[in-house]
Amino acid sequence: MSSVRNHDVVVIGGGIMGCSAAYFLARDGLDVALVERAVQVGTEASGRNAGGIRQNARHPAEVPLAMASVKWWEFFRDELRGAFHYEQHGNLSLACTEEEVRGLQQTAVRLRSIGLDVRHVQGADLKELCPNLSEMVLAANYCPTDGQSNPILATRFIARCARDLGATIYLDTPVVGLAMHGGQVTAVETAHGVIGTDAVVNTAGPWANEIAVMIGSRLPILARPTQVAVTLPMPPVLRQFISGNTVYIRPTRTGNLLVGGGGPWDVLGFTRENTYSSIRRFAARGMQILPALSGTSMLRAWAGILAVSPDRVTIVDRMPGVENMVVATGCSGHGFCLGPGAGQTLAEMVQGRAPSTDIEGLRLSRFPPGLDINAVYKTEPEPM
Amino acid sequence: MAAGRVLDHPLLGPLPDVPAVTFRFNGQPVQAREGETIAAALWAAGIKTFRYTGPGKEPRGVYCGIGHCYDCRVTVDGVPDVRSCLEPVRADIQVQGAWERQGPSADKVNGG
Amino acid sequence: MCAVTVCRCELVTDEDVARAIDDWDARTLNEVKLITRAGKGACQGRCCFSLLRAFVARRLEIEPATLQAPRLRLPVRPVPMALLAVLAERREHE
Repeated sequence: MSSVRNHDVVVIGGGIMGCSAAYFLARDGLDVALVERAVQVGTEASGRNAGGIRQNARHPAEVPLAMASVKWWEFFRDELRGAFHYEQHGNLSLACTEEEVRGLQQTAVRLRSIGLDVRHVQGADLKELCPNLSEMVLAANYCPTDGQSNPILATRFIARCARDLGATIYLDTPVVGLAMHGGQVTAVETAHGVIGTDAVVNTAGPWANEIAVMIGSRLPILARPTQVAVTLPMPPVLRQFISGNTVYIRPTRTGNLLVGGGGPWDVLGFTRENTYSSIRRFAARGMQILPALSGTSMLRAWAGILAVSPDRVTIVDRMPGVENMVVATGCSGHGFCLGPGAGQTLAEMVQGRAPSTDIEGLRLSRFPPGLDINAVYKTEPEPM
Repeated sequence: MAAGRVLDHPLLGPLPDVPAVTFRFNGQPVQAREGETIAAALWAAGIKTFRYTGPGKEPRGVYCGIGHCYDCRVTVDGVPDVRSCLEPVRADIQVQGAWERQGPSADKVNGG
Repeated sequence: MCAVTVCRCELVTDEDVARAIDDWDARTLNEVKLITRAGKGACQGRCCFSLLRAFVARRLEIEPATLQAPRLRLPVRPVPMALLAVLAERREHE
């Protein structure tokens, strides 16, 4: 870019949240710039996750956003003809102990009361839905409209839609500072020049706190790595995206199975390395619920960096300490589905409109003032 | 057992006598020579396609022959993804090769 | 003229790679891999990366040596899931 440009809005971070925000802002006719420091959009968590697009197995506070997002995912696939392999074969959240069964039953009631089509299934019904689960699985909550996609293609597709509507995407462009005046951000300083602007969207994922610090603010998030692995292709043994026994497994259209989750959960920081303990654990925990995995091999593992919030629930809000910045981060490993809904909400908030989706449970005000997130995660190494 | 084999090599000389070994490939009995690889035994038996892959159900068998490409992979006594070009035959092993992947064709990149 | 297979494992052709470059702005071998799946198959790119490098370099009119091969990941060869599970069990009893 030339050394000084101007755009109505600058979106910082080209993951699924940022690309979605850029899309909705451009759709509303604003001149939006998306600034991404990597060589392409979707290179971090948005391009490394298992591609799950699910409303199931979430904290109720996230469900309205998830439901709104699924409608948008369907729009991107069906109306805009996005070819990112989005299929809706359902999501099963599994219970392997009696206590988990009771928890699922309560969750199903609660999520249904919010309007989600989720059903508690056991016995023959579960067997019919998912014939190859082991005896260890006692019950499941099933959401039929859930599914999965290729997150790399999906993120790029939405970015391209944003660009087609007039958004400018600056790649290889790290943000190095934010200029403020009178309680507002007036410019975004990048490695390649300055962008004057009226509003900023902070969708920098685990780096969102670095952005907050630039305006003298803070966000209660920590970076935490998580690992995923993929098998060689095998005959179809699984139709849905399943999670339970601390792992998740999902089929792909090429016959490979993705396996993730499972820890270690005491590792924090900006690392994308795989560990032997994790890949062993994926295999062990995965085979306990889907024994058919014994018919294949692990082919490759990779990792991504999550932004974890104190309660592992997503944050969508105005940034404190400044009038014209909004933020979405802290998705704690389940943010991919929420991208389009969050993007729409961020665009609405930028323009001073009340969010059309209920995000009251996602606001920063739910955290007590002075909360030290480092203390939270020292005491709670639970699986996600 | 002679089909496809070099019985008398101009430099290495005649093929030495070794015991015959029988194993099964997709349920069919296959005669092999002790010490040779599963892939060599299958070729000698006239079996060049070990499995199928992809939406077009393309045949696959030996490609690189040196344990590099994994095209020749088979399941041996339940252990998946064994490179048949490297794995020696053993008596009575059950080797499974072909399976047909069902499901929608994998879209590659398209204009969408 | 029929398409040339570049990646045998994932059935990726030169036309697929060209589309990744032309339509999806792929500029690195890693991006070609992410978009087309070339190099994501059983051999993890051992057979196709040299072909990809030559093709992509020619199409982008750059020196092949400037295109870095994508990272090799764990495990470096396919490992049966059952074996990994046994290893996990042994570790948990140590």
